[in-house]
Amino acid sequence: MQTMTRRQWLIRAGGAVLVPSLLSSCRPAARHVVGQVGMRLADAYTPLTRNDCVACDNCMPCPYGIDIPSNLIFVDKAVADGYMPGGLDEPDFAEKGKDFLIRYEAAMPDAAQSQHCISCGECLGTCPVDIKIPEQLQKLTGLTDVLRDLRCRQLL
Amino acid sequence: MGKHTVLHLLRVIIEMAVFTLLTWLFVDYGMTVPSLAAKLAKVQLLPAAMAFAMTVFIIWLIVTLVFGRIYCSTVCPLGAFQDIMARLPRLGRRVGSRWHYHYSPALTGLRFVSLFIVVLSIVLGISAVTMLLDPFSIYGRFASDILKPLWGYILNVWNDMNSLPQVKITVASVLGLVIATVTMLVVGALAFKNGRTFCNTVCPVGTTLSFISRYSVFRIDIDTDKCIQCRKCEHRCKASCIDMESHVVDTSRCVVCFDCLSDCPNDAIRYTFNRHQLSIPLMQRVKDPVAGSTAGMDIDRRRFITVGAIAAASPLIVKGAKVAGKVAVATASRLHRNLVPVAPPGARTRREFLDRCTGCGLCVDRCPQKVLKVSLDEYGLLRALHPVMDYDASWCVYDCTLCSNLCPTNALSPLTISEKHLSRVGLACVDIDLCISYSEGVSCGACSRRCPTGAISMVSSVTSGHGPHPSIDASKCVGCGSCQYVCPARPKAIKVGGID
Repeated sequence: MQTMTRRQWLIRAGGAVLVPSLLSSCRPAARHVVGQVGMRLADAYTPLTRNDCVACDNCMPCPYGIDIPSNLIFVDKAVADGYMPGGLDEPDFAEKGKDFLIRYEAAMPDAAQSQHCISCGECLGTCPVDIKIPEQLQKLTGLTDVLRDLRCRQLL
Repeated sequence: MGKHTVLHLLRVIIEMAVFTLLTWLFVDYGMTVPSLAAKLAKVQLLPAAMAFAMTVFIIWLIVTLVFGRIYCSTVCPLGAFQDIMARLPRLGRRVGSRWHYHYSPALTGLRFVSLFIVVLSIVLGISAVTMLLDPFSIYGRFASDILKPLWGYILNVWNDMNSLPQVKITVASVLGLVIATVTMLVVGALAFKNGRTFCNTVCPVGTTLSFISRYSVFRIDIDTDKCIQCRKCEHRCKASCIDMESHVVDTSRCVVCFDCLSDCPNDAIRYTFNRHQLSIPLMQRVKDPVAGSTAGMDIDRRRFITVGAIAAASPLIVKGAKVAGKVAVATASRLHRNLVPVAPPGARTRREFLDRCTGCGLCVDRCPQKVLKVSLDEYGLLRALHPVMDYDASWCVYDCTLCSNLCPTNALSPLTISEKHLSRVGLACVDIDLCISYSEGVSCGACSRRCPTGAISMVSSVTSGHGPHPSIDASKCVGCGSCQYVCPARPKAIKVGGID
């Protein structure tokens, strides 16, 4: 339970009275999203960084059907184009996250998505630029799990 | 602008607003629809009756007793759909005589038989009949099976032009498409030709409300002193309920659309609580003129009371049957070797869920994970078109309570997140011979890693030559399907079975 100062409480109570019930469908401010993710998912999440994948396809084929280069390049592109969400406490997490998830699901067929990675290690050692592929895919799964959770709570 | 035109305009605005919101709720990709739309789904009469939402049910009965069947002209999405279909050939101020409506006597027998069948099927738990006749479910299936994919294609063309990500279009099963198309074609064609025929013959909601609306306080009434017999109102009446011979408006069929009011050249037809000239016995149509008006009235009232009582009591009867059934189910509950389909979270028992669900498709439509699909023969062919969990396609998010909170029939009872964490929809079941970790020695453990409750642990087997295999703590498993979804073995080594 989050403690509130008297001032915060007054602001919130005032807002609750003033905001018409029709506007209740508006999404909560991005800031509030942070506290909403379950600890289980929040702990598993670390912000992603660039992989600098060169798309050589040496890691393919993945025995479990994951399109590894596409996943890595998607992350690179998201970082480059500025819709890669950062830490959970960042104010634009929800906004970027929504964009990220919609694009990710549109770009990647379900079977090629990162959550199918079982960390078998077949791809290790094939990468010329030494990307730790299973680790990166787990991180990506951690992010999509958080985003899907938020989407289910209609916070995205 | 006269008083009547205002009423008419108000009715059209409300009807179209509700219709738009409900359609938006069904065709929406993403989460753009206002939460008001979900609330409108909860006040639909037959789903509310199935949910034993007696407050909603009784409020509608009282509203009907006062204002007549305004439900049918405002809140019912199928009513609005029929109004649109009926309006198509009748656009413009002057409507050709070919498209005039004409009075027809009430098909009382058909209405009673149809309502009786629905009530009987609710009592007996044959939901196939209810789901085929409930107006909200008919419209829901049409919107989610036909309108939603169409909207998706349009949206994707737009997204394509603006280089936005595409939305994923899911197409319903052939059976679902056929049923949705056929029912809508029938209802649409009837409306196109004759207006509200569906509402006044087979619709169980329309018939139930008609028992009350024939005694409604406010009603459409014809002032015989002013009426010049031009029949303009009769030709506008899509419910075919204005009898010009006797100047009687059959309020049991009148959907209070106010269309007739604006056309009257002499202001003779009004929406009022003063009954002009006509006494109550004459308000009823008497079949046999010899028997006299009071006798006809008597029969009508007796029939009203008995049928009405059955209709009102049927949800309670179902509830009684359910309580008795629940005890038996609890003792017989065990994990079957032959896995049964998994019902969505919020279902109390599988049987009760199947009996209550009217197959409107709202949960399947709104599921953000697309883990719900419309059943074909999973529950048996008679139980087709109910939602079922498809764990090969996706998994149920541990913290998600969307479907259970949307369900208008209470087939899925609303859950809070902490309740959802504790409610089990199924149990995972491992076949270790299929497990690639056990039989092939691959370092996997995907199921154990993805399990939100930590119910799966990888256990090393004592026999040599075998890798570790998953072991399920049945007390922790909630049946979310994460394990089945990620299992890399084909066929899947870990599957979730429903609780019977």
